Formats: sequence, structure tokens, C-alpha cells
Amino acid sequence: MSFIEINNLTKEYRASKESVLAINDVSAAINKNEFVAVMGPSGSGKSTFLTTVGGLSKPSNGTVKIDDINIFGLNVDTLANYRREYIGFIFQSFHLLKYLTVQENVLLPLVSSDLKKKEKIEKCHAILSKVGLETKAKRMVDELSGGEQQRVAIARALVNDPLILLADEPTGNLDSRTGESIMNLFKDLNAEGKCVIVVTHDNKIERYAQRSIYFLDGKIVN
Amino acid sequence: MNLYNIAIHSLKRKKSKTAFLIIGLVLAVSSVVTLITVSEIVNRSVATNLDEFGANIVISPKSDELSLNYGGLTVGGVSISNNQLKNEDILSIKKIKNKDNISIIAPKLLNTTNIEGKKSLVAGINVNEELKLKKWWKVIGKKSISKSEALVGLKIKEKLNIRLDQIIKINSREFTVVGIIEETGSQDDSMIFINLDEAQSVFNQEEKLSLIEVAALCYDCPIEEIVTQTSNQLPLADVTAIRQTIESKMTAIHSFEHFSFGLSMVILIISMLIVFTNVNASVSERTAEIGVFKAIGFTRNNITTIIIFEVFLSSLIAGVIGYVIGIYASRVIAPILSMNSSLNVEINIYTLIIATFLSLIIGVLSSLYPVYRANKLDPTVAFRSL
Ligand SMILES: Nc1ncnc2c1ncn2[C@@H]1O[C@H](COP(=O)(O)OP(=O)(O)O)[C@@H](O)[C@H]1O
Ligand SMILES: [Mg+2]
Repeated sequence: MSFIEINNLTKEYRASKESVLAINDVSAAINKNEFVAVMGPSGSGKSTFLTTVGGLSKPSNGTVKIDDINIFGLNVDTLANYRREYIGFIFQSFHLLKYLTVQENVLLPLVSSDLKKKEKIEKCHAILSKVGLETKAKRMVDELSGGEQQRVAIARALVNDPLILLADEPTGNLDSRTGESIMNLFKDLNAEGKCVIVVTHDNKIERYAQRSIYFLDGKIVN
Repeated sequence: MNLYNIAIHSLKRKKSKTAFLIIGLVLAVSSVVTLITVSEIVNRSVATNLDEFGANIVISPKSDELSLNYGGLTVGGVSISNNQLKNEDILSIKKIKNKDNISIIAPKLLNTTNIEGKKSLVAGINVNEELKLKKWWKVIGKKSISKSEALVGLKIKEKLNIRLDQIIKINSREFTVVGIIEETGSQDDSMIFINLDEAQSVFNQEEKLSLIEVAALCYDCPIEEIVTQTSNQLPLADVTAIRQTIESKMTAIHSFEHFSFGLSMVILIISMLIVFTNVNASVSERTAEIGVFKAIGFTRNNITTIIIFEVFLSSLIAGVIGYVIGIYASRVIAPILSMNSSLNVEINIYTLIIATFLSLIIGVLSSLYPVYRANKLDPTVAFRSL
């Protein structure tokens, strides 16, 4: 049995008239220490796959089991807690809160944790130095470069020490050198034992992963 | 970093939106505070003036005969022999618990007598009190009468063909007619008025009274209480509240109250729409941010707390500012609208709390739907939009 088991996953977006089958009866299995690249053309269903696996949007059909837990069988709030503990999301456009500092952004997922303030700050500093931003903790995020902002987003995804990192086109907004350093960061994190799934349509990214899944029109092809 | 910090930072970031929300609520709260304060003051002043406009309590001797009816003009049946009211009863009235609510006490001694061969009704009155009570009297000639002077109603003037300055004989004592009361449409038109003391001595009824008319200020004391208290003081008298007068006065007062209440409701609904639009727009603008909250594992409670706390803070500030502005506006407006200029509007904690609470309720109630929408939001849609 694999760490992540996806069975017959289907997601249909219903607009007013037409409906779109974003993913169509997809099954896959991913192991705990894997680094998987999810590839495919634009509109093929990669993002939908990622947010569904991360428990962020409910599938129309099929199941996602992580650590043998059927995540869509959980109630809304348990699922939220589950996401907080197990999953770190990283997005193409970073999605940092512009009205907060670097440190405050990284501390966000710890808002309802029982840790003491001091422990939280220590944790935050440890993670910021891991992504190379230890000197920028007090900066407002929009004073940082794109690469630095993506590192803040990665730090935010890491602060709860999740088992799984889900990144949707994390280098899409970055120049290629910055993109490479971000991908190296993911590679290091995978080496430390995290399960990393990165969505991309950039072939250069593929070589960082151990394995690729190809999407076409909502289906996995080989 | 906690949920409240997030809300505060977010409010500070979108300064103009927050300012707009606060201004909207300040306008609502201050208008409602002004309306209610001013209407309360104007009511009080109108009520006081109305209460002194004619009697609202009539005290008459207890009688088995139902015919003793001053208001309905069955005065022909007034049986003087039954007269039990005395001058000293006036002092008793002034001793009741709510004596401060008693504004006018107008005693009367009524007698029928023959003047120039015609049966006429003569009333002994306390001139000052009577004139205060009957503010509508228009008198040709002199209003106030001294000893051996008389006021006459228009009907009796015509019936007896009296002119101003004419001398009439009442029980063979002479009185000069110094004033003619223009038509009032009441029984006063058929009466001759002389001083109470004179009447008591002319008709040989020293110290006696036929009835006492009272004007009580009943804005914040039910008239029934004053009636009961007076009855207890005067066990031998019938004390009756004049329903009709009271009810029409109350209608006048309440229609003003209803008006300001209605206007307040309209203002509140408009301000709810303002808050609703503002918070709803803010939720739409923040779809990505709300998506992030969901992605990093915030529960519905967490998200609700952030949004509601933002509205809560804005409403709290708006409530206090709105209240203070409302009170200052009332200080300017109330003296213009009320007839009593010595009113002062004070800031008091109790109403401040009510105003702030009102503001909070408007804010929170109108944010419920936007919050519901934020929680329902599909985060994947949020991320797609950027
Ligand atoms: N919220 C949505 N509503 C309607 N259609 C959507 C929505 N999200 C994605 N789609 C559609 O589903 C398909 C897959 O989209 P997506 O998962 O974003 O693909 P990719 O990430 O590979 O570009 C596309 O046709 C897209 O237009
Ligand atoms: Mg995509």
C-alpha cells in the first residue's frame, strides 16, 4: 500500500451551461519519499489534480487516501486541520499576505498551535535560515524579489513540518536561474524525507524529479 | 501572530476601505443618536406644553346622580347642596407623591342665578390658574379680573345683550364686565366668570368648590397613578381622568416618536447595506487570500474570526465616534426644535454602550452573508483567478 493512493478520481466543473471534466477517472499511487513531477499542457488538469490530492477541493468522484485516511471522508474542519499538519502548498504567484512581514507570513500556519510565542519564533527562524532568508524576517514581503518571495512561501509551507509538499508551477514566475535554486531547494527537502509533488509544464524541471506523471485532457498518459 | 493581529494588519493595509466602512457606520449611528435624542427632548417639551393645554383630570364631589357633568354641559343639574369640595382640598392635591407632575390646579364654584330675568351660569375661578389652563381663550378687553369685575362668554353676552364695561348684578352685587371671551365652542361661551372668593361670598358658600380641574404633566408618569394618589387624598371626591384629551395628546406625541423611529430604521437598513456591500466586496477581493487561509489549514472558525473581527473593530470605533457626534449634533438641534431652551444633552455611558452595541450589531449582522460566502469559497477558483 502506497503513502498516497488516488483511485478513480474525477473532477467536473459545472458552469451554468457546459461542464468541464478537468480530471477524468484518474488513479495513481505515490510513495512517502518520492519526488514526482506532474507534467502536461495547459488545461490538462494538473492544478485540479494537485488541489484535489491536497484536500483543497472536493472531487466529483473517487477517493484520495493519505496514510490510509480517506481525506474526503473527514468533515470540513478536520480536513482543514489535516491539511495544516500534513500538507504544504506552494503556488506560482506565491500568494503571500502583503500586509504582513516575512516572519508573520511564515508564522500564519502556527496561528492555532499550542506552541509558545518564543518556540514559534525559533521555529520560524530555523526555517527562514533553511531557505536562506534569515536576515529578512522583519521585511514586508513586497520588498523582496520574486525568488525570495517564493522562498518565504516555501518556508510558510514548511513551518508545520508537513509530510507532503504540493507545488503548482513554483518556478513559473521566476527567471531560470532563480527557478533552478528553488528546484534545488525542493530536491534537498525531498532528500530530508518529504514527499514532493511539483506541477510544471517546463521540461527542464523534470530532471529534478524521480518520476513524472503526464496529463492530457484530464487523463494520465504514459 | 494571531487571528486578531491578522485582522488588524489587514484593516490598516486597506485604509481607504476601512475608512469608508467606518464613515458609513458613523453617519448611521450619529443620525440615529441625534434623531432619538432630539425626539426625546422635543417630545418632552411638546408633552409638557400639551399637558398644560386644558385639564386632563377633573375632581368633582362624589354623587349618586350621574347628571353632574361639566364636560358634557348638563350643568343645569348641578346640585349645589351636594357640594363637598373645599378650598383646603387644593392643598391636599398638592401633597400627593407625584406633586411635581401637577402643573395647574383650577378650582371652580358653579352657580345658576337670574341676571336681568334670565337664568345664567356663574363660575367663580382662580383667574391665574384658569388662564394658564385655557391658553386658547381670546379675550376682548381685559383678561385678568379683579374683585367686582367679570368676564363673559360670547353666547351669554348675546343672550343678555351685555357690552364691555357694562355693570351686571349677580345676587344683587355689582360686577363690571371687563372682558368678553371670543367663541370657544365649549360651555365657557355660556358662562360668566368672576373671582372665586367673590363667588363664594356672593352665593354664601364660603370655602366651597363645585369642581377642580387639574392639568398634570404625565409624560413620564401614568395619569392613572396621579388619579389614584389624588383619590386617596380626597376620599369624598370623584377623580376622573379625561381619556379623550390624554389619548389625543399621546397620539400627537407618539406620531412624532413613530416618525423618528421609522426614519432610524431606514437609516439602519441603509447602513446595513453599506456594510454588506463593503464586506462582500472585500471578500471578493480577498478570494486568493481566503484560499491561502484554507490551503494552510485555517478552519471555518478561523476565517470567520478574522473577517468578523475586522468588522467588529470598525463598528466599535464607528459606534463611539458616531455617538459623540450624535450628542453634539443634538446639542445644536434640540434647542432649535424644542420650546424649552434650557435643555442640556449629556454624554452618558449607558447610551454610549447602546449606540456602540447598535453599531456592532449592524456591522456583524450585515457581515454574516459575506462570511458565509467566504467559507463556501472554492479555493481552487481563487487561485485560478490570479
Ligand atoms: N474553477 C473552475 N471552473 C471551471 N473550469 C475550470 C476550473 N478550474 C479549472 N477548470 C478547467 O478545467 C480544466 C483543467 O484545468 P487545470 O486543472 O487548471 O489545468 P492545468 O493546471 O493543467 O492548466 C481546464 O479546462 C480548465 O479550464
Ligand atoms: Mg495549472
